[in-house]
Amino acid sequence: MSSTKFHTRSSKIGRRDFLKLMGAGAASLGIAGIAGCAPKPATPAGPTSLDFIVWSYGIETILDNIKQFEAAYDNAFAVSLKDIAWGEYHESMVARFTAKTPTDVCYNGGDWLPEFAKAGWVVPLEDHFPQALDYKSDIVSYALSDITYNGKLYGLPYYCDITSFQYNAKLLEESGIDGPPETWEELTDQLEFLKGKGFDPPMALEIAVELPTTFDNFTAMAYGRGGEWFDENFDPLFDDPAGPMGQQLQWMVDNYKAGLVTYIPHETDVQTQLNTGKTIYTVLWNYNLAALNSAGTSPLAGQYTIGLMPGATHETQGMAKMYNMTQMAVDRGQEVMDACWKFIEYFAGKHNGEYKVAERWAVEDGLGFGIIPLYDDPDVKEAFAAFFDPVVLKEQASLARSRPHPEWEGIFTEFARMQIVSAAAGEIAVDEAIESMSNRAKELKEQYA
Amino acid sequence: MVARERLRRLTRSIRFSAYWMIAPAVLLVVAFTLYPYIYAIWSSIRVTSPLLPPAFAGLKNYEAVITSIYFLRSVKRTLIFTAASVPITVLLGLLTASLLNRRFIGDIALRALVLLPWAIPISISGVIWRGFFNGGWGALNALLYMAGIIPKYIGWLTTPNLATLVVITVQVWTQFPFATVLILAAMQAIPEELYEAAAIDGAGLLQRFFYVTLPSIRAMLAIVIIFEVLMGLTAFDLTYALTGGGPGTATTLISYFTYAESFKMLNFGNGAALAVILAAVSLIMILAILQLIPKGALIGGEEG
Repeated sequence: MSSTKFHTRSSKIGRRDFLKLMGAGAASLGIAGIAGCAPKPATPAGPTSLDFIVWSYGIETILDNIKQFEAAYDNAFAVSLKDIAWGEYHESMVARFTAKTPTDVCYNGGDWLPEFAKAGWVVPLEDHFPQALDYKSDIVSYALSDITYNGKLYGLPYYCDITSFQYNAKLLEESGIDGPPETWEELTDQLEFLKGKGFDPPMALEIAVELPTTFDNFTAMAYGRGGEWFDENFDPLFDDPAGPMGQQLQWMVDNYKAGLVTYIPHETDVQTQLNTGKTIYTVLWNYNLAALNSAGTSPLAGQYTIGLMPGATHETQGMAKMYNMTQMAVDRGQEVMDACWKFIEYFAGKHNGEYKVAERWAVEDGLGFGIIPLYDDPDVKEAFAAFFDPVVLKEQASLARSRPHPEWEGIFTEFARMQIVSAAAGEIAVDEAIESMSNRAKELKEQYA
Repeated sequence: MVARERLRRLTRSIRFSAYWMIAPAVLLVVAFTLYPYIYAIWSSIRVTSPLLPPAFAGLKNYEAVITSIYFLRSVKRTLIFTAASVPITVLLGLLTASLLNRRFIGDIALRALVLLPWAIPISISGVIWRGFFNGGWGALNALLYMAGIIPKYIGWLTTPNLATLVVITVQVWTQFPFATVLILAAMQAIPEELYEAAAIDGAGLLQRFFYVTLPSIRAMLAIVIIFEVLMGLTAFDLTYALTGGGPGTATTLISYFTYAESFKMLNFGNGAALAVILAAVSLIMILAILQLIPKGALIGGEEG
């Protein structure tokens, strides 16, 4: 009995102790809560903090630019940088905005702008800072088109570039070919000839189902044939398999099957492939030529150049990446918005009368700028002359156009990329891919109407 | 009567305390396992997108993913990938564990070293192996070419069947160390007396392995197989880093589309439907594996 009594008491004590502990815990939480609700003691005014989100490119340069920006404003601002891998940028930003993870200024692309703007994640810059409109006259047309949505200027350009047809001019000449091809069919003839000369594979394309740039590369090649995705009402223009899009996809299938073209999943690997000296041709964002022609990064530096995109029209895709201010920044108040504007203007616009950051990207990394006055900047001209053929570049840039951007373009491009890579590798027929993409575009237009 | 009443109170009191004791664990399971799963099922029957108003969708999301252009192909690829990588991983783990279960000079260092592939993040492994297998400038082609084994470089990552083989190889490389460690731990728990008794009975090396070692590690083997099946069915980062899912979609597995539907195409309803299907397939496979394992093996009991 005594044992039972002891255990009973012991058990009761345990429960009471437990309840006491719970009570004490609740009381502590309550006190903490009250303390949390109490007015906070005044804190000394510090720098305005900004969360700046970018994709992973040139991080050291960005950090240095941030340092210079903070110094230029006597450390009135403290910028926190977060970078995300390019391949995951779109979905990471969607997750970030959905979860309301602090984001004040971010990189964005013309293809995602309508989606982000419609969701209310980024805001029109001109609504809050009308002086942003003064920059419009300095920006090339295809870039302006990419940073504008529903007639409103949403950001200022980080960089603007074209997708270009690139080749090793030295090896091409040594192989006995006079110059780059005018058409895709002529290119096939050249590739067959080059393969016979031991260049294997003679052409490498940056194509992968999980890589957003795949869609850009395909679009640029099809633009060379005069292709287009959508009309002004965002109805498909590509649904005829015998049209330019279908023709280009078929060209890829045929040349891949013949072993004349290989698909490589990242631009840096394409550069390495070209630097083996076994591959002559590629299609990449133009800034890759800067890396290919830099002695520090390329053993065959100086041998690469730009050719006009093969095809009837020689057109290509031009685009702008931009700095956007977010709704979260607006929600934080005027002080933060002012900081955002100063930051965006420093990075994308003029500071002390100069496009300092855009010029730096151009000179050091060969990034295109789309800022008209920079074309006459002597430093930029000198740097670009080492990377590109300025005459062909200018001609190709004049033939560049941006894609039409429906609000659902980000979703469509993800779907279309799957079809393009499947068809290009011969997994599905070109007709099937074109039909799937066309049906999907129509569905999305209806769904998002 | 008083004593009985006290006993009854005591019993109730103990039971009451027990509920409180397990409550934190139950809450954690509910919060981190049950709730996400129920939420996934809920999302899978709704239109869930940051760009569209929420609405009830019924089974439309399931219909959309099952009839999609990628579903059957990626399911087939995932099953091939899992069916090929799991047996090789487990057999290699078993073999390596058997070797490491002996005393020899440097055995401890070797046991630590064997964990190295598992300790490297899978995405980093993918990048390392991408350099090794690259068709244009990879180390493997250079070695084979210099040794006169191949007349010209092979597109390991750009030829669909070869790329599949490469992905399976690297999956095995990243997974077998963990399998080895788990199996080795089970082997080291086998009483030495069993081997001595078997030896006295005249059992040879192979007989001791099949009649002593293998039955003693059945439970661990079951766990390793289930774990590896799940790793195979949900593999994503390896192909992402190694092949980018290509060439074409030759190495794009179903888990990529779960991710792509949700975050790239912003259709969380479709993504959730796919995740639920994947979870159901995993569950069926786990149950099938458990059916194949003798009853009681997982709790160390005798074969039923």
